[in-house]
Parts: sequence; structure tokens; C-alpha cells
Amino acid sequence: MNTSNTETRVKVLYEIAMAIGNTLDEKQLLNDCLKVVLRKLNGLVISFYDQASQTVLMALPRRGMKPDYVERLASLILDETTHLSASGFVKSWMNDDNLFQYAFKINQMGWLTLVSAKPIDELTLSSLGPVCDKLATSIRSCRTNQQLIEKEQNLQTALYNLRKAQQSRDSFLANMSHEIRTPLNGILGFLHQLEDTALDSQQQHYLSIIKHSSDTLVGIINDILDFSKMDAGKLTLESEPFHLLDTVTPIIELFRAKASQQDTCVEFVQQGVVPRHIKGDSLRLKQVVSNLVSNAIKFSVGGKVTVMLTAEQLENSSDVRVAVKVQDTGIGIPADKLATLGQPFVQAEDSTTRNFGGTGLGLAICKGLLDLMGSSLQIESEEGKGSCFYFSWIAQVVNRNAHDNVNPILVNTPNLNYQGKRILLVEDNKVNQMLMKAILAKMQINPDIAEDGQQALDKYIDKQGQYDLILMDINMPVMDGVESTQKIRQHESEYRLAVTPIVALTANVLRGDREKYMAQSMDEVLGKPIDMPKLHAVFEQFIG
Amino acid sequence: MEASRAVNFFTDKSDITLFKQGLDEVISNEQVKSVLIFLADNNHFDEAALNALLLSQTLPIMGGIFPEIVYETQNYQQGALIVGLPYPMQVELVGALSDEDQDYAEVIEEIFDQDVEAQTGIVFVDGLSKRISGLVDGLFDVFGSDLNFIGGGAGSLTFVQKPCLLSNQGIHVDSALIGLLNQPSRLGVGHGWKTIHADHQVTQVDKNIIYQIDNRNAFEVYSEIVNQHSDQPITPDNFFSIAQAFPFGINKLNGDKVVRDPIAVTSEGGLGLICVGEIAQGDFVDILTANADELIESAGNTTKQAYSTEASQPAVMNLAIDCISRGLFLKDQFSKELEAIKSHSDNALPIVGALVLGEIANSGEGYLEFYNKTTAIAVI
Repeated sequence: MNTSNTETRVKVLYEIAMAIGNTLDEKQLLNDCLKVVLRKLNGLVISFYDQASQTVLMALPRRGMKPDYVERLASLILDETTHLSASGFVKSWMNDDNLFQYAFKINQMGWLTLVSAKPIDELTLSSLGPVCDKLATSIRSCRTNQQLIEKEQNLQTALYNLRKAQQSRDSFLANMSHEIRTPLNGILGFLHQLEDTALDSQQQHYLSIIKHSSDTLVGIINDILDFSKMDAGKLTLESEPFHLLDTVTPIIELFRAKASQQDTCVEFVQQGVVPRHIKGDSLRLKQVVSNLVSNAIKFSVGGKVTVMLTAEQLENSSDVRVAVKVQDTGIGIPADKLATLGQPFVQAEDSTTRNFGGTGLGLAICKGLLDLMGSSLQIESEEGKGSCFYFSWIAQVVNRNAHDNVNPILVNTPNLNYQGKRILLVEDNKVNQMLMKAILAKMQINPDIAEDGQQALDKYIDKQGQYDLILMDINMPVMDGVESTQKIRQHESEYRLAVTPIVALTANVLRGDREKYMAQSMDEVLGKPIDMPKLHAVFEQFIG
Repeated sequence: MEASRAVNFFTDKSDITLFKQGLDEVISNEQVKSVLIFLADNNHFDEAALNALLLSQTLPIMGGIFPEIVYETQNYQQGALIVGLPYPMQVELVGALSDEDQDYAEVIEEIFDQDVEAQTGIVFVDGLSKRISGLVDGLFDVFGSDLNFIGGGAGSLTFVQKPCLLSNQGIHVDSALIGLLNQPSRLGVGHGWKTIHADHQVTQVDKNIIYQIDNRNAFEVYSEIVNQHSDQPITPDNFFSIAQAFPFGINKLNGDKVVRDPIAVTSEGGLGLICVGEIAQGDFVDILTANADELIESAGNTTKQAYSTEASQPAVMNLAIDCISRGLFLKDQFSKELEAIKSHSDNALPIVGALVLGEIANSGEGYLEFYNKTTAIAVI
């Protein structure tokens, strides 16, 4: 071969090598490679036989691999796999149709077959080794990449399924919350009504047991809902001014009474200058402290529980570090269980549930709430000697007068005489209807009743909007409370009627529900079971 | 019994009425089973009238509006050539020839039956479409070397894209027409361009626009070489006329070169060279040139190459697909190229065809290529 031809060969081989490995898509890689080899070497047919699947993975032209080409390659593969490992030219044949067939090994990946009308010189054939090696490496890269893509896709699918499952769970919990709260509303409401009737001492005892059990059930439902919201990242904290001592001390008092029944002494200690008002979520702080104190008492029968509230002024800041420590002389926690404590549904011992009750969610919720507060729960414990639960957080101090009403919705002495007020009660559940009628009767109110949103709308139009207040359930057949409210508002607007206050009365009490209903033209939202002080506050606000 | 032969009509007038009469005349001949039409771009036929005429035809029609048309030993900038073929042809239209996402192999496989009986394919494409190479790859992927293909790009030398393909469905833009004949053909492909500078590597390219050669600005490198051989320095303004004599050649192992014609300079991305047809990044290219005699001689040799294979049955025509840039380069001498073709072909057979924007051909011994500055002769 003369110099010029040698140079051409080198250039052509270089061009082929350059065209390989520019993509991580195996199909594209093979297509690029087969095309460039075919063009540059003046081939008629080219194919790639894949060792893994033992098939011709790609051929150009697509139906170019005639059966005899494949047969020759197959017999070669049987002969050669045992002793050849390097990539490159292996064998050539002169076919019956006077065409030349060449086989190249692509190390550990497969075989390349080229058919051409004219013979290819030996030097070119032997020089194709590095090109075949590059193809082998590139195919390997494509396959590794494909595995990574598949893994990522699987992870994405798993994540998608997880999110869907979480959505389903959230939706299920929301529905269950509503479904459980609706009958509970009836139970608790009528227990409340029953208290005001003449009962003998045994009946009163039974009633107190039923009330306690109902309160426990409400607590468990609330725990499950809180945990679910927290797990879904949907729980956020309020940031409103509140009285710190007024928030913490009632809890101590509440539990002190219970503790005394089991000879447990509850001590409350203040350290440092505790600010009157700080900013935060008082309800959630109460929830955490209640949980820790309740646990401490539960496990310290005949012992002592000390609750310590400490405040420390931060340097160069008006903020304070507030700390709460709950120490008990109870049974303690084994060292090997400390790490898992606070994980949902985990208790220190399996026997704990049997002996002390509880869902195992309390500490998980505390940990989650403290996390949202920018704090964390510290636990020290020694088996048989007791435990200490401790947390602290930085709080913004709020300067306000002592007589400021921090929570304006609460009223001290409820007005129980709303005689003459026209109320429309929209409620599909008969038990809840009866309960609300009983509650309203005590306020001298005899409401009109509508059993669904459509009836409410009809009655409203019939009375030409002359109601002082509408109590509107949300989930109802025929027409729900939201649609009914919107139609009433539309009617008011069309006929230029005065706006009637509409208060949602609903068991849908997940966070965001209140904002949602307020945005849909309702004036206030009351949760079920009915919180009587809130009900009074709402009546005072709208028809007082 | 009289042998089958093509029935031709030719006029050098740009008169659509005359063209219509010619078409009626050819079609009325009972021997004619399908029709090839070559119209010159300068005719400026009314599109609506042409469309209506095509839609009214019942025999399979395949044609194009080309920069120039060829009849016997002359090229014409206006006029019409109608070739009535004595055998049927399956003509199919492939649209969206600039669609980046189109898999043309899939389209072609869908259009034609897997066991279609064909030996020769004629392909006319809109020469200003962006994915002609994709279509050519698709044709090879589906049909391989079993079919001889010949064809080229229709359109205007103004390089303004407009409807230029003719079929029974009317007049088409940004499309391709593929006509399959179950008749043998003998093919010759050649160009006659010789290397004057070798070993330049295309280091940055975007399909048909070369931005860098040897890691330097493509126009700078190209002009440095060309200025050594050109009477007049090449500039972006006179680029088309001077670059006609200095195309690129892409190497193949057997020493053949696929010619790429640089036709303009783009200022986008820094003076890139726009070529007719794609070039791959990393390709080594030679700068080629030729004189008139060499090109004319090559056309004769290409014809000899076509006639060198044995005929399996009598032919009816010499289909000549020649590059318009050869016509522009050879100017008045181009008829000598056609005479060279005539002198090496069967005298009884007419030379019919066109000067096109890029040639498509395979000789049955390799990949189907999209060429520039090349002559393709099919004896059909």
C-alpha cells in the first residue's frame, strides 16, 4: 500500500473512532457506529450481534442480515468464545454471492459483521482492533448509564407511589376524622346535656367514666391526626403572643389532681426571670408539656414529678431562651431503648401498652412539634431511678399590658339569652340536629332546621334573608354547605339584601380548613365536637 | 414486436399551455404507464394552474422544478421535459423533510410494503429542506443496496424554498418523492475533482455548517488555501462564485471522495461555511479543484462506468442527474459534458434529466450518499 493510501486509512480509522462514544444512548451509539463504518469502509451490510441477548441487535440496512450471514457468524461464535478475548478482526468469508463477509469481536459485548462488495486489505482489518475496543467500552458505558437511568426511574416511581399513598392516607384520615368526630360530637354533646339533668350518684359515676373515656378517644384521634399532618409536612405553628405562665401552670394544676390519686407528687419550679408574654404557638406548647407531664406521672406511681420552667435572657438580644424540664422518679427507660424512643408507634417495652396504655405517638408528636419550634427533645434516664425530659427554644418577648386580651374569641361569662333571634341550623345528621337544638334551647333559641344545603337555600329565600345567623354543616347530601353558602351570598348580592353571618359547623378540622371556608364567604368556623366557649364567643360576636 | 421505449415531449418554451399539450400527448400514448416531469425554475408557471393540471392526471406522475433541465446534449434554464415510461412506477410522497424528530426509515417502511417488487428507485427532494441526509439514511436503512437509487434536489438557485415537487397530489414543498420501478438499471457516479490540499480536519460543525477547520475559523483556513489557487481573493461577498471551483472532499477507504459544496458564509457563530449536505465532526476533508476538461472527462467516465455492467434487458433512457454547480462552473462548456455522456452511451437512447441541488445515488457497491458537484447516470 502506498503512502497516500496509508494516510487515507489512518484518517478513515480516526474518523470512525471519532464517531463512536458521542452518546450514552446505546441505540444511537450503535446506529452512529454502524453507519460510519459502513460508509467509510464501503460496506453493503453491517450488523451488531449482542452477546448477552444472543441476537442481532441492530443491522443496517435493517433487513440486510441474510440467514447465511447469521449462520456463519453463529458457527464462528461457537468456535471462538473459548480462546479469544481481545477486540478486533477475527475471520472473513467469501460468500456465494461474491460478497465478502468480515467478523470483528467486540470484547465481552458481541460481534460486528460487515459485508462488502470489495475486499478490505489486511492492514486495515488488523488496525480496526482499537476501534472495536472503543465500541466495547462505549456500549458498556451506555449500559451502565441505562442501569442508572432505570434505577432513577424506579426511585421516581417509588417516590410517586409513596406520595400517592401518603395522599390517600391523608385523605383517608381527613375523612375518618370527620366520620369519627361526627358521632363523637353527639356523644360528648349529650353527655354535657346529661350532666345538667338529675342523676343519682351511681349514674354520675358512670357518666364520669364515659366522659373520661370519650376525652381519651378524642385525644387519640387528635394525636393520630397531628402525627399524620406532621408526617406529611402539613403541620405549621402559629406565631401569636401568649401568656407563658398562664399556658403552663394550668397543665400542672390539671395533672396534679390526677397525680394525687396515685400518690404522685407534682412540683412546679420557676427559674430566672420568666417573661409574661412571648410569641409562639401556645396550644402546641401546651400539647408538648401535657404529654411529657402526663407520661412522667403515668410512670411514677407513688413518686415525684418536677416540672421546671427556666428563662434566660440572651446577650445582645431582646429574645429569651426558655427551657422546660420534666423530671420524674419513675421506672426509667433501659439504655438500649432510649435511641428508638420518640419514633412513632414505639414504646420502651411491649408491656408498656398493656400496663400504661397509650398509642406510642405522644413522644413522636412532641419531637415533631419541637422540631418545628427549632428545638429538640433531650432525654436522660436510668432504669429504676427515673427520667428527665428537657427542651429549650429561643422565644421573642412581647411587651404588652397584663390586662390585654390575648385571645379575643374567649368570653368569660356567656350570654345565655338570645330570645327572638332567628337562627337557621343546617345539619343532615339527626343526632347532631338534636344536640344543637338542645344547646340552642338553653340559649332561648328555637332554630329553623334544614337538612341539606338546598333546603337551607330554599328556607333562606323563603324567609327573604331574615335570619340573624346561619349555622352551616359542610358535608351534606344534595348540596354541600360551601355551595349553599355561595348561592346565599349570590342571592344577597342580586337582591341587595343585608349579609347574613354564616358560621360553618364542621367536623373537618384539619389545618387550612378554617382558612378555606373563610375564603368561601363564611364568617367563622366552629369545629365538632362543639367547644362551648367558642360557640358562645361566636354568638356574642355575630348576634350578641 | 416493437421494443418498449420512452415517449418524450420537450419544449424550451416557458408556456404552460404547451406543457399541458405535451403532457396530454405523452399520456395519450398507450405504451406509457408512468410519467417523469422535469420543469425549469425560470418557467415561473402559475402554481394554481400547475396544481390543477397535476391533480387531474390518472397515470402515476413524478417530477420536479429544477434550476435547469437537461435534454440530449443541452441544458435549459426554461422549458419542460416529459418522459413517458413504458412501465408502472409506485410514487409516494414523504412530507416534513425538515422535521428534526422525524424517523424517515420508519416513515418509508410504513409507506412501502415489505415485499415491494422494485429494482430501481428515483428520488426527488426539495433541495432546500434541512433533513435530506436523514431521508437518504432512511432509504438505505429500509432498502439497502438491493435497489439502485438515483435522484436529486429540486428547487431554485435563488435559495428561496418554494413548492418544487410534482405528483398526482399536486405540487409540494419541504418533501420528497420516491418512485419505485421494478426495472433494472445500471448506474455510474463520479465527479472528477482532485485534491489540492489534504489533511484538514473539521473540528466544529453543525450539520451542514462548518465553523472550525483545524481548530481555527473555517473561513480563514479555507480562504488561505483557496487564495493560493484563485486569481481573485475570496471574500464573503464573492464566496459563491469562487468557492464553486474549490469544494471539500470527504475521504472513503477506497479512495473515493464524497464532495461537499460550500455555497455561502454565515456570520452566525463567526463566519461558518454553509455546505450543501452534512459533514461529520472529526472528518478529514481535502480541498479539491478541477479544470473543465477533467470534469468533462469524468462525466464520460461515469457514463462508461454505468455501461460497463451488462444489461439484463433493453434500456429506454439515460437519466442524467448532474449538479447545478457543475453547470455554473463549466458555463458554456457544460454542453461538452453532456456530449461526453452522449458519446459513451447508447446513441439511440435519449439523455433526460436535470441540473439539481445535490445528487442522490448509489452504485450498488456501498452506502447511499447525498453528493454535491457530482454526475450520476442511470441507464434505465
